[in-house]
Amino acid sequence: MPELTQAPENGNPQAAADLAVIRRLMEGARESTSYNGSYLILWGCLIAAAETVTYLEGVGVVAVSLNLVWAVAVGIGFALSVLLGHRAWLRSPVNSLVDRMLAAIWAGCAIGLSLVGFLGSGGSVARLTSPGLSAVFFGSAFFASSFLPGRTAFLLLAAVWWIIGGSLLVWPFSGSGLVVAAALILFLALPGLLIRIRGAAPTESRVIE
Amino acid sequence: MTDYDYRHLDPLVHSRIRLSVLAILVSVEDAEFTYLRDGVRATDGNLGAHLRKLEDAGYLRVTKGFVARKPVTRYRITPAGRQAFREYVDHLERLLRAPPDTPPGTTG
Repeated sequence: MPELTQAPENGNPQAAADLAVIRRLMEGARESTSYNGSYLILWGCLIAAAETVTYLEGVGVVAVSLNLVWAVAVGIGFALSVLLGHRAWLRSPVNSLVDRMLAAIWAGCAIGLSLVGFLGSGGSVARLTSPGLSAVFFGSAFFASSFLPGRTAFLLLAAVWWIIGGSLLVWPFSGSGLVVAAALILFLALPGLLIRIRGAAPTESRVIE
Repeated sequence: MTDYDYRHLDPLVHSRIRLSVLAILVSVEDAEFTYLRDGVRATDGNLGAHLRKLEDAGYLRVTKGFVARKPVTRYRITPAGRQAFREYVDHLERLLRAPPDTPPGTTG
């Protein structure tokens, strides 16, 4: 490949063209991501299962310690997330700011939900309120993620989660947990699966032509 | 200024491939060799030679390892590389702002 510029007759147009290409390359690289939706599938399934068990315990079908159920679900979630994150960091062809921001947003959501779930179960958060509150958290995480490149569809998911969360906070009922469990499969795990199916090929960068 | 006065540009950055590599690496945390190769559309040998120049100049840090028994080489830009890239881009921007009749070499 030849050198960038040797000594063209007029440098300013060349400089402008070079700068434009540099900007395109930088934007392409910034938008690169290896995010593949695994975390959404993982957490969607785990929390849906825990919500279902919580509902079944509430109606007397099963008798288990809910703290234990949630501790196991959240423990597995965090442990596998760390493993997935470490594996992705090593194997991903590029590690970008987008990946780090997505990880931060969703880790913040998981930690916040864990605090509400475990500390709130002591009495400050009513059992019927908890599912609606969780839905609001998911909506907020999707909303924050939607501002990252290529994630505008997350705005729709944020709206869906906020509508579900708001409705459950206004009209809580004994089946709130089941509603959230179904929503977790439909609006968290399923989008994760779709992202995974569509592939996580990093945005292609372009060389200076 | 009517000339693109390359004498005032860092010769290590003033190459299509090396500039492309720096533009990519300045925008990410790190990138694998294959990602850079696909990004700059260079052959392995050609890119490797350019990367070695940048590495020797202290503009890149290289990490070599194995993932699933396959060798993986990752590159990360250093503060010196970031500074060199910034200065190069600043120089190009000054060229753009310079009036057309500015004598060559007075913008750098």
